[in-house]
Amino acid sequence: MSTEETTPPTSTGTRKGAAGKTAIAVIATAALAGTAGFVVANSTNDGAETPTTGSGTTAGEAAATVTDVEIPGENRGFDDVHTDEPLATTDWLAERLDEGDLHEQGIVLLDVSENLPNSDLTPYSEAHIPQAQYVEWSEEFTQPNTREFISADEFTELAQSLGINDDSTVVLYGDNNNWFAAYASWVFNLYGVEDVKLLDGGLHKWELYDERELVEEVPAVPAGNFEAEAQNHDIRAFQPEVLELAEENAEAGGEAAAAVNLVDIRSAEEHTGEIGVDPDIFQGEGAAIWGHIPGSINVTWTQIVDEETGEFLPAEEIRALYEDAGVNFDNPTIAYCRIGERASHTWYALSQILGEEVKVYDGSWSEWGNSVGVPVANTSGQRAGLWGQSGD
Amino acid sequence: MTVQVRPDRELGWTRADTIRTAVAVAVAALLLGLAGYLAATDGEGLGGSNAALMLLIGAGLGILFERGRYCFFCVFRDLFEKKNSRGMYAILVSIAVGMIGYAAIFSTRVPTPRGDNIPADAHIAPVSAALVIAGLAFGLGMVLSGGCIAGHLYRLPEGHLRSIPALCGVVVGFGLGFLNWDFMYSHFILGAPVPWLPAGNGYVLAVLLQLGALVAIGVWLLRWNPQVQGRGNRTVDATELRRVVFFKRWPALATGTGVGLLAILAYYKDQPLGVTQQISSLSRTGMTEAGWLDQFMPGLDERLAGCVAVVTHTITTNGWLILGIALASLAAALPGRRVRLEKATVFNSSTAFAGGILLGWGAMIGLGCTIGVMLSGTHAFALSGWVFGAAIVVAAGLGFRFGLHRKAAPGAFSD
Repeated sequence: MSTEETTPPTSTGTRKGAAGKTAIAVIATAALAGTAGFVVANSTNDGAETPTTGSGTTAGEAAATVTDVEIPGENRGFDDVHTDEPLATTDWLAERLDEGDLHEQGIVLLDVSENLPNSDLTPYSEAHIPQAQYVEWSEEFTQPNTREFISADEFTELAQSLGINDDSTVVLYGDNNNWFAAYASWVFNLYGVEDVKLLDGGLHKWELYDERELVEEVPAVPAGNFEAEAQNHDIRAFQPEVLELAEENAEAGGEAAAAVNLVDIRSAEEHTGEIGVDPDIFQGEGAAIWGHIPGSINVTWTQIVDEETGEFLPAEEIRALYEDAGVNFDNPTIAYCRIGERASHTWYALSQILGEEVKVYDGSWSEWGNSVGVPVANTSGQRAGLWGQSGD
Repeated sequence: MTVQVRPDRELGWTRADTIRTAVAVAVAALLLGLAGYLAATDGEGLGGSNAALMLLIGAGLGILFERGRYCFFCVFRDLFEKKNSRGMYAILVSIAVGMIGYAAIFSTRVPTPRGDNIPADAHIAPVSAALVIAGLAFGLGMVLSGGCIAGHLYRLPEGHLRSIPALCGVVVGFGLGFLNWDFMYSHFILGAPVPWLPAGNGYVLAVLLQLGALVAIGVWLLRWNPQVQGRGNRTVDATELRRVVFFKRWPALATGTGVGLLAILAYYKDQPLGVTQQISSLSRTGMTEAGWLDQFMPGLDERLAGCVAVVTHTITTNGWLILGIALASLAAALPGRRVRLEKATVFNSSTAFAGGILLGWGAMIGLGCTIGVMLSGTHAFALSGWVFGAAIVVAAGLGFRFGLHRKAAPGAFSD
């Protein structure tokens, strides 16, 4: 230490003093280094799942309410998500069918429908587009009694049973403007199926607008060899991520301040919080709180489809529509609805047709609007939902 | 004991002094006028309501940097080459003062600091190998080019002409950094820890620890502390005042305190101090428009806090801060006869340019410079500030030991 230079060692007295100073310096340095080690080790957020341990100072003052469920997945980017030609026309499909066996052409045609009782489209069980197979979106995609998709291994099993190979082109269609077909396309992309297309206009275009043929015959296909990858979390948003954005936006007075667009595709009344969910139609999708995630931009999904044919509008029109509504495509986007299926429809438009970086927050309002403590914006001018005057 | 006292040199007043003072007054008037205009228009379209304040904070910094010689290049050169640590104390004091103010501001905004509620606007960055590499590049670039980025901004008005190629190099370096960003981000930065010292420890412990570290460094640096030249008895008259304010270097303690206070004010009202955001925005906007960069840069546009760019077409408050530094430095240097054109040759300009590229690259990958990451980082109790600072000191130490600054600019350093 510096003491040797400044105090000449002439007498025993000063030597003792020097030794004392050195000892103090060593102890001080050790104490400092020890504290530094402790503080640095304590300062990172590795222990996020146990926020009240390790420090003592946080216990009792705050509690994390957002559940910390682990969903396996990885961030694979958008290379195998974005598709060159994301839409198949009904003409194209009719030509393929004229040519013969779809499986031999490397195509797997799937019907993913909702089958609401008020639908005027023919359900698959009665008749469907030739060579189409049926996938039940709820039972086959999700784990029983859990709001999570089947595992990657189970998805492999499902995909192989549908005859999907690594190089297959999967064409999806369904009723109700392809809502659940779009949802399925998102799930297929989630597990790494690369070439997924939607039949533009869906069953509505095929059956009612084009008036093409439906058949009763259910095809039999040989098993495929597709192996599912882990979920690609670059296209799936979870509540904690959305919460960060919501808090940032809420702090900015409900403005879209965060560098991520939140797109709410529900109806304008649902967005403002004027109405909740009609339990007669959407049983099980109700929310205790009405309103929207702060800073979210409301573009209803119906605005991006042609009313007569049910086909998506041209890409430039879709882009202009969102930009006019305030979506900044320099930033990534997260879309939500009530349970994630219509948000998938919007995801399809923004991610697959426009080629942007988009996630679906599949928890959507049925998670958010029932969560304790999350910020909610209600712009209807009154308290609403279960704890509002208009609740029932 | 008799003490040799060297008498103060007569200052006198020449015709050149009249001109210099007139120019300084004009520059000061321009600065104040600009601030007045920005305040009156609320910075509409020109950086917003904080534009005037940040311009004035920049002006304050410019004066302190120039008069206190708060220059990392000069301070480290004194330390490593002349074995004089005196300038270091200004840096240590500025960190100590600033961090206490930051702690006060943090404690009102985030009463219970945890790893998951790190203040997003403070410069608290991930600690990874990329940060160390960036710091080393930055330190080397500083030695080669004759200043850090903030240093060039205030030394240019002093007549340090090498700052021009150096700052051009900085813009290019930022561009290269942006091109390397994806690689550096995905290989090093993604998933790196973001140690924030108060998290889980509380502010008191963090303040005590950093103060302890600063005191320890301060005590250790006392070994390189040459004798102070005495000055004769004097009365404080107008000449003495002029000498002390404009000619003598301001004391380290005062300079450091001033910088610390301005840092607190800047963070409280607008954003942490830093001088690279506007410059890097220049690089990024240009490259994005030329189609060399994607609109969206992973990590950078998501959650990383630092002094690096967004795509912008207007001047930001950070731009006003930079302008304030440069103009005020000129106004402060002129009355003290400190504006002297240094010789710029093709050789020393090209080394300055090369050094500038290293500075810019390091500041891009490190998400800021000596001010934005080191000073504002340590103020915010970020480990990243200390790590970046340590890397710079190591690189600068080696650079000065090997005399790279002399090789880069032969004849520029007389003593």
